[in-house]
Amino acid sequence: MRLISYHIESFGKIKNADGDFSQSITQICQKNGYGKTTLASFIKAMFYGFATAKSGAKAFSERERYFPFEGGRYGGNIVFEWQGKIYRVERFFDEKSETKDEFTAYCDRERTNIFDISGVGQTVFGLDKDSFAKTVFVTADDIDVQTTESISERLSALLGKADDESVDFKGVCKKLGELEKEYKRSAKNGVHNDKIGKTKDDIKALKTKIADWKQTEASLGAKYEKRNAWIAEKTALDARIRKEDGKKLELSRWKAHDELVAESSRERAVADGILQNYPAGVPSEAEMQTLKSAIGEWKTKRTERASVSFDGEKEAKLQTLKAKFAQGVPNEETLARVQKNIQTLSAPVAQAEESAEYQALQRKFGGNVPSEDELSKQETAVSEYTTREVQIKNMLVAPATAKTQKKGGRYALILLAIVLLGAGAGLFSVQVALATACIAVGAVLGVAFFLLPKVGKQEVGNGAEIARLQAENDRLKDKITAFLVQYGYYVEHGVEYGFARLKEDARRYVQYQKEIEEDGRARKRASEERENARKETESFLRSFGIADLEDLQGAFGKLQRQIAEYESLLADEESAKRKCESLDGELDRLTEIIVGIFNRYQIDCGEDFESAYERLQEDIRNLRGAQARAREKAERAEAYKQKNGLTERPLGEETDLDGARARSEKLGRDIVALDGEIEDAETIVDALRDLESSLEEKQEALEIYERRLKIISATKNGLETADKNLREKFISPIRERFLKYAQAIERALGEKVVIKEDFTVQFDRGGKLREDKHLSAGEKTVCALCMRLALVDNMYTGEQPFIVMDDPFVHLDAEHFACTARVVKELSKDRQIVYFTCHESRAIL
Amino acid sequence: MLKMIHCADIHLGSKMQRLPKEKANERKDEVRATFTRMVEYAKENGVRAVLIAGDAFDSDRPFKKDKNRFYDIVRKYPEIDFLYLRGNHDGEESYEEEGLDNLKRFGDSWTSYEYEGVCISGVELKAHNATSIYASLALDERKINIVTLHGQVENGSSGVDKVNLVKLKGKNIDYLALGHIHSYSNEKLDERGRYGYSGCLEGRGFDETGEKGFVLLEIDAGVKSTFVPFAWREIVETEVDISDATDEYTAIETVRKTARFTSKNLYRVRLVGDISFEADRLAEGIENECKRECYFLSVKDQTRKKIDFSAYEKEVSLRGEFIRVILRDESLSEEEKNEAILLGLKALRGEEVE
Repeated sequence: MRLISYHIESFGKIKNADGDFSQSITQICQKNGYGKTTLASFIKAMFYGFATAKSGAKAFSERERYFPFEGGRYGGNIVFEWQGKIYRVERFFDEKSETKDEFTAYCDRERTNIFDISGVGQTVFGLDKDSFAKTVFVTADDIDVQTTESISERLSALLGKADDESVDFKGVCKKLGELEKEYKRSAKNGVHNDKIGKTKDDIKALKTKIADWKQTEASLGAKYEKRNAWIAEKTALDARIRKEDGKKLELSRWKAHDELVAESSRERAVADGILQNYPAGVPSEAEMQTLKSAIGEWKTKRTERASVSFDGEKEAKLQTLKAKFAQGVPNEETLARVQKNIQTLSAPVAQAEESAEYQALQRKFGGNVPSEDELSKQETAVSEYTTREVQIKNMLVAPATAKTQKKGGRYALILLAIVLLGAGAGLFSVQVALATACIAVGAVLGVAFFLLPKVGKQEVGNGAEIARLQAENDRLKDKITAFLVQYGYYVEHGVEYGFARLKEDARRYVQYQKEIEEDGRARKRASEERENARKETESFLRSFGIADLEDLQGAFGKLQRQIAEYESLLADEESAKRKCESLDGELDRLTEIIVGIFNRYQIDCGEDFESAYERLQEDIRNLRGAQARAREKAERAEAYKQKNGLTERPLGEETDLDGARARSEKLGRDIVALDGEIEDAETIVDALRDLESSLEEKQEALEIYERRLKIISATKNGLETADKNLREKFISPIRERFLKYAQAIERALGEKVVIKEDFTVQFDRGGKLREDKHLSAGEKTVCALCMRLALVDNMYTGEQPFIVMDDPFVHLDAEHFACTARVVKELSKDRQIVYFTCHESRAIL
Repeated sequence: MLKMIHCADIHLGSKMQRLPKEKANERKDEVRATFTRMVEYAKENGVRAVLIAGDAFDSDRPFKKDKNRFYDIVRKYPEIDFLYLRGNHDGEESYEEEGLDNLKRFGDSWTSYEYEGVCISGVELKAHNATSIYASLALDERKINIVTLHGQVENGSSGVDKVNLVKLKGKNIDYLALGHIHSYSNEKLDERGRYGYSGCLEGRGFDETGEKGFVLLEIDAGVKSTFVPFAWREIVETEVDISDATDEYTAIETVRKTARFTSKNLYRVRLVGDISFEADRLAEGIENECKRECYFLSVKDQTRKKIDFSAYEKEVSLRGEFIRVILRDESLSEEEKNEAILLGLKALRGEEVE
């Protein structure tokens, strides 16, 4: 592979530039700033392109770095020979994106598709961009080494790294080795400190413990069985003990039952003893009740009979009264009549009384009462007067109608004048001023009253007829008035009214006179009746021997009391007689009952029924008590029997259960202890499950550790294998190639250079191999350059590439550079070199 | 109306898988407590009988304290009958409790109990009766019939721990109360009846996720079955795809958002997806970050690292050669190759490796 020429349209600071490459060394000696590095980057970019600039990236990407400063089309072309053909590759770059780049390739002036946009370098050199850059481009730093040991390190770094950082491969392997040991290493003094070893130890310990506890778990079955057996035995023993205890209890209950039966028998004997005194038995409860009742009643009756009597005093009194009323006791009618007489006599005699009205009428008429005839005449006159009055009024009605109001006003005036005068008179003593005012106003109104009719008459003024009639009527009125006045009546309220009053009073006066006469006659008749009554009453009382008649009412009362006493005594006498007869009968009946009952049971009761009864009652009470107790004991015995299920007396003797009890108690204790053991074992088994879980976890952890170890080991081995492969693939050939280049060194420098397996460089000086520390800086630089060339020779699977040297010898002094330049020239015989330098002193050509 | 509870697989005394000891013990107590709560529920709701369709205990030889607790509860509620069918885990018992009239058992032949015209029949499946029980089952078609068995439903085959559904069809069963499967289900048996598992009362591990509880049977003219979620805690397994996460922090946020942790429940989060960031202890980091938000959290990292090694494959370098060596290593799985390459690259970068 050989570079032929290039053309730059625009690339960084370079614009529209062309150049050809020599077949051996192309030296570009220009000052700094010319664009040597830019040209070197252009060559690389033509083969590998630029990656898309990452937005936001801090570092300036190559695409951005070389974007034309002065504009223009970003890119160019490069012409090279490869596999015997001439190729021209054109690339024009977008500012940012690789996808917008333009790419064209020509082969012998014809367009070719042999390359794709990113694969030119890959196709030509068989290496990726990074590897290409690492090997083909040689800078001052790459060969600025102090020892050849660093050459080895740099070579390893060159192989191991894709970026600019160094790789501490040994450190990496050491770290992985340590990590590997963390997971697995040999035990020290039998103790594992690695994860896998420790976990395995834990697993082993857990398995041992689990096995141990499994035995405990297995023993649980036997414990459960033992427990069941013991419980069964204890249950049987307890059942037997319960049975024997039951038998004992039943016997004790039979004993209790028997005691009750015996007590019942004893009571029954007592009852029988009592009954011996009563061959016919004892009265029943009802009979005893009858007896008790009869005796009680008999006793009461007898006392009552003794208390019943009609004594001598009462008898004497009765005889006296019988003599008194030998003729018989006056009947009620008679007594009522006498009583009435007495009341009549004692009643006061009524006196005639004159009413106030009568007395007033008496004063008016005094025996001069107008006769009916006089009254009739006067009535006619009054009628005539009244009729004429009406006539006059009727005649006055028409002309007077219009003046009615005035008349009304006139009457109102006189009425008001009278009221005010009266009020003035009344108030005079209270308030003189007001009274005076009232009187004055009343007087004025009175004068007005008298003036008003005059005016009316003057207005009427025509009634001669009326005046005549009025005159006649006035005369008639005077006559009537004269009649009335003699009896004290007047016509101030009218003639008709005055006459009517006289007429009524005269009628009432005549009526009063008639009543007074009648009253006088009645008084006379009453006086006569009283006398007759007195005589009859006195006669009656004397007939019953009552002489003191001064007080008739008292005498009559005395008689009444005697009659009552007499009748009472008669009744008492009869009552006593009837009661005695009745009580005697009752006593006989009761005696018959009492004696009948006693006799029925052949009991001698004598005459003292009460004592006999009490004796009998005592016996019966004792008898009944004994019988009741006997019965109650028997019932209790039966109930006890029923309650306790006493059907059959247990047979056999009591067994000694002490042994059974002791065994049962021991079993109880043993079971409790066994339960404790079971609980302990179950706790262990419970924990066993945790242990098993722990074992599972440990086993899982072990799996994880082992897997991790596998990964770590694989990683470590992989790295070591990769390193070995690289060495096998590159290092040995590199060494061989290095030795080839070393011949050039020998030719150029006169010293034989030897490289060891580990790339340590030695040289033969004076027939003795010496360490590289004895090499000069220039010699070391040459060695480093040879090493790079050897590497390039081995890495490129396709045609050997050119070498781009970007002022690599800038650090060398003139002497060392001269030596180095000779070697480079020597090397350029076999390889195309593009050499950039900034100073003439470093020019090779 | 007669009320019954159908429950099963209580597994009293069962060990709690994958939990720290303290929490495992707490969960064991919670399993016991939930059984007690269920019986209290039964009392409060007028349930006449609790039908336990097997595996009340976790072991053939249950611990004494578990048996004592069970019997204590049975004794404490004499008004409730406990119809106890033994399953494959509690087929034998270390000792029997006496004097519990309300504890009704089933044997290895059909045993029936009747409540208000409802007939409950059951049989414990053993090797000697596993095939013959079907022929001997005769139920009165005029009654409501509930049958209980413990085993896996099979269509056609019989055996220990197997319930042959084909042979139970047309047997006048109204409800077939099953135990053995730890998740609730309810399916049609035939034209007349249905069958179902109550599931377990509490999940005990991450293979027993979802709602757990019992089935309330309300029996009148027919059988109405209702699943009653009753577990104290729920075990939840969630797959979280963190492909879009750009780092550990965003991965944690994605997990939080997807899993919706509650303080009462237990969670297992499986991280899946292709991730492009490196996080050596992603699962552990998420666990530590989120474990206080729930009762228990386990995170499994099943993500794939989204790294394109092809870019390095042709690189003439130690890195390129290393990748080629690892990719050629047939002793490693793809995942292991990924891990080894990542570890190697990390080491080559000079970063800390663990």
